[in-house]
Amino acid sequence: MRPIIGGNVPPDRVIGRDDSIRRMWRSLENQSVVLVAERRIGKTSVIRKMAEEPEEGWFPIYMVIEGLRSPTEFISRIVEQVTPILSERQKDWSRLQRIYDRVGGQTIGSWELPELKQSWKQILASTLDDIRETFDERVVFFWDELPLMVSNIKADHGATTAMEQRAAFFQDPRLAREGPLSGPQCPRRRS
Amino acid sequence: MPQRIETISRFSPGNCKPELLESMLVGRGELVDRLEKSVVDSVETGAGHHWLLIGPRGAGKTHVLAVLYDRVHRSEEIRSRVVIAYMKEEERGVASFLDWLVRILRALNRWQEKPAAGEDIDLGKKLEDLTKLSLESARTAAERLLLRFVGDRRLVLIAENLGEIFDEVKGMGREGQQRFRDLIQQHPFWTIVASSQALFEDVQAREAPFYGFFRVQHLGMFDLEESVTLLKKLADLEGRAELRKFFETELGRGRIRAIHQLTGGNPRLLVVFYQFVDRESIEDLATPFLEMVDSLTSYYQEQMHPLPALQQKIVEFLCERRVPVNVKEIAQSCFISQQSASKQLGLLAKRRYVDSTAVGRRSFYELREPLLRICFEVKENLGYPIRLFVDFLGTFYSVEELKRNYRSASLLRSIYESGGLTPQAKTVEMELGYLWEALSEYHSQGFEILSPEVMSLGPPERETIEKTIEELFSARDYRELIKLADAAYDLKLGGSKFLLQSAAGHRKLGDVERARDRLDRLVRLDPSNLEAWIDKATLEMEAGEFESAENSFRQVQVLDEKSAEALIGLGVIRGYRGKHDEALGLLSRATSIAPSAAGAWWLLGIIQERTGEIEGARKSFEKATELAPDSARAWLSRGMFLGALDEIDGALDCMDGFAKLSRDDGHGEDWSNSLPFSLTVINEHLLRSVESDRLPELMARQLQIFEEPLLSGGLVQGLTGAFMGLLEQHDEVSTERLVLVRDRVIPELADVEELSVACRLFAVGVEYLETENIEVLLSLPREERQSLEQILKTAS
Repeated sequence: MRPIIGGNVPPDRVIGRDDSIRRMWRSLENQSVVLVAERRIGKTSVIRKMAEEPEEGWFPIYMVIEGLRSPTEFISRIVEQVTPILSERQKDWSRLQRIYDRVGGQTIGSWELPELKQSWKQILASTLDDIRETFDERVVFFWDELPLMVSNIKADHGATTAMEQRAAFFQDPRLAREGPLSGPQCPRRRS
Repeated sequence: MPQRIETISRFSPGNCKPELLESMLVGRGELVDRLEKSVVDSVETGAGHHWLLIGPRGAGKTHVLAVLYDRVHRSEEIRSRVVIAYMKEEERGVASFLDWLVRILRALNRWQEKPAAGEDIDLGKKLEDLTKLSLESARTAAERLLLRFVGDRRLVLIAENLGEIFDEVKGMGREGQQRFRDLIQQHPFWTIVASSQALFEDVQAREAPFYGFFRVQHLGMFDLEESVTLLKKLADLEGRAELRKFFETELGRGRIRAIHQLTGGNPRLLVVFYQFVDRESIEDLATPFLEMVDSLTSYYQEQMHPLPALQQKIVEFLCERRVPVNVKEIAQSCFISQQSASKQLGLLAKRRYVDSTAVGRRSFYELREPLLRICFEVKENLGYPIRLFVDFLGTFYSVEELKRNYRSASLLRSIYESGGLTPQAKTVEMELGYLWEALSEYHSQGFEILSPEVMSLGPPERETIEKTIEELFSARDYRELIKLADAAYDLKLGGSKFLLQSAAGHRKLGDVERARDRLDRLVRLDPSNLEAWIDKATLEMEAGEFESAENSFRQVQVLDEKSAEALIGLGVIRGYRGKHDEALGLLSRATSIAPSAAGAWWLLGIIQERTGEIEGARKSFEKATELAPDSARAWLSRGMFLGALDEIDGALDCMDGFAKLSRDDGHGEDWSNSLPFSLTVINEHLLRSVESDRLPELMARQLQIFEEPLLSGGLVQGLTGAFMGLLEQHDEVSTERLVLVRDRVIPELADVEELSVACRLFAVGVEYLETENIEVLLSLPREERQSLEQILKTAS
């Protein structure tokens, strides 16, 4: 078997993490989980494996968010990941669309959301509502490198926005049972 | 078809033909194989393999990437499942992630990659459409476009100077890197093979997005053996068989060693210096060398430019010193503290400008690329010899060569001065200056030559010139000899002897026309010059102009009816023409007139062998080797004769004598035709007649006799000829015998890679003759099968 350094590791070549993965699925029953480790240990490989081989009853949404720099980009990324599934299940972004109808009149056609800086919390909430409507399964978000995104938002939009964004997501009751699984230094969420 | 070296671009191998680059791969073949396998593994398993090649300028990174691109591009196995973004060697102006995406898309367009199945994408048009969008929209659109274009295939990204692309100031910076890594992780269809001159912060810092992302492979400089291999390949490419042989001699390797020292084993510079390897005279060397230095100056100045002043100062100091220096001395000489010097040297080492060697607790530093000195050298046109060329001469030539060249150049200058030829004298003056410097710098012990000024003492004596010319002839320095002889003759400092000597020099260099010109002039001026007529006749005979040669030999007989040279020459010509009886008569007379002329005896032996006078031939050959035990030609001829009589042990004894005598410094006789032919004859008889138990031993003996690189090629050709000859004559040789040869001889040659094809063909040919099963031939590749069928004369 050829060693893989740095690059994507297919799930069947992730070795020796089965116990940890099983424990994390158990934890997710009740709360969010943060995976903390030194760089290059294999965190991404583990969560990718979980995302590609979820346990029954879970619907994974895997996102790499290191390069995102604003709340709207973050929401756009969620929309990007989920839109194909909405289409498959013949659902749409009804609540999210209503917001844009009210404030901008723009159609959610592509994944690029028009920037509505003042209303991003509302947009986020509507996005999550739409997701809840779509999925019968429990949705688990896998966020890779969350702290880096928060750091970017802080750098570009100020600490307040970064903090608010973090709080808005983690404290959202819609996420009571759908929890994020993330990179290092992410705050633990109460169940 | 030999290709001129100009087809290899010195600085941009990315512009060269792929087959050429593949054939020129030295010391990097295994690396390219690994890279190729990684790409295949990525395609087949989805695993992401990412490589970063690190090496200084000229180490061969571009070459490796170009070969990798070609292999992946031509791979039938995976081509339909990959799309290759082969970036330009210099992708300047990548200021953001969007810029990077656009460059990747442009690369796909430039290399005419096809979009994913079912997608109708005009990349050129789409790229233009991007310019009409806002920055945010353009980035998103570019990402989407790339994803659509790639589809479910693998994207192989080949990029150089990655450090610059990632750089915070000159490149896309941390933000761009984060977005790039996001894209790679979110859509893991990427395989990246990139290069950089040195490791950089953006892959080394723990917090950097691409920390630990790449598998790092360092490309070092070539060691001496790799340098020799590279230059041999260059010679093969140009079809210069003689030069290739020259590299296998001590002198040739010595020249390569000097170049290796100067270039530090930098492959790019080895290619540049290749042109100097077989230059004979300093004059031939100086001008192109200085032109080369001029052309490299801007290249090296560009390397110095990005260094801060303090580092430039340190580099300049190391250029002057040219030997490893400790930190304390560097600090003192540069007027900086030791801590500062240490820090700057550490940075220079990271950037691969300097190498360090630890001796106990001290570190010594030296330049990694000695040629960086070009930036600081005082140029020759300011009146000082350029030090770089002096150093090159000092290491390139031995002390004897330098002294000899110095003496002849001094003489030549005197000749020109006495003839009033001031410009020519000044040219030689320059050459003398370099030689003087090189001798005093590199060979000061026993250095007894006087200064150039003292040497200029008026017109030189004819005897001095003749003596120097003879010295040059013995040393095989024919170019210098010709210069001196021609100058002396033109300025009427001597008689016809100089013309004769010049002709001899040209003949040794293979310049038949000029040699003939000198001799024709000489016999016109002095029709009674016996030596001139003999040389002329011999030259004409060697050129195959038998009629002219006969006329010239007859002139010799007019001047001297008992001339053995004429009898021998005429006898050889008769032999060529198949008039063996006449040849016998002439050569027999020659041996009675000049019984000590070994050449007459072995030539007589050849004719006697052809006319069936075997015992007479045996005696003639024995006489030749007795009279001239130092004649390689005599031993070769005798060996071939004995081999044809199945007297194999005696034949190999003679070949052993030949081999010992023919190991020379690369200026001697050309055995490239006669040796293989002789060994074919000997081995055909050996393989047919010798007891089977002795076959392995006799093979091993030959491998030992001809182990020198200069001669081993002859053995390979000889054995190949013998194997194929045996198969061709399979009607005369029993199948049992062929099987025996296959089973006893082929295993002895398993380690000789050059014989692998011949052994394979022979083994398969014998198996076919044994089994008469045509399927046996199908184990061979097409070209080999066709060759074998031709030899066996089977139906295709």
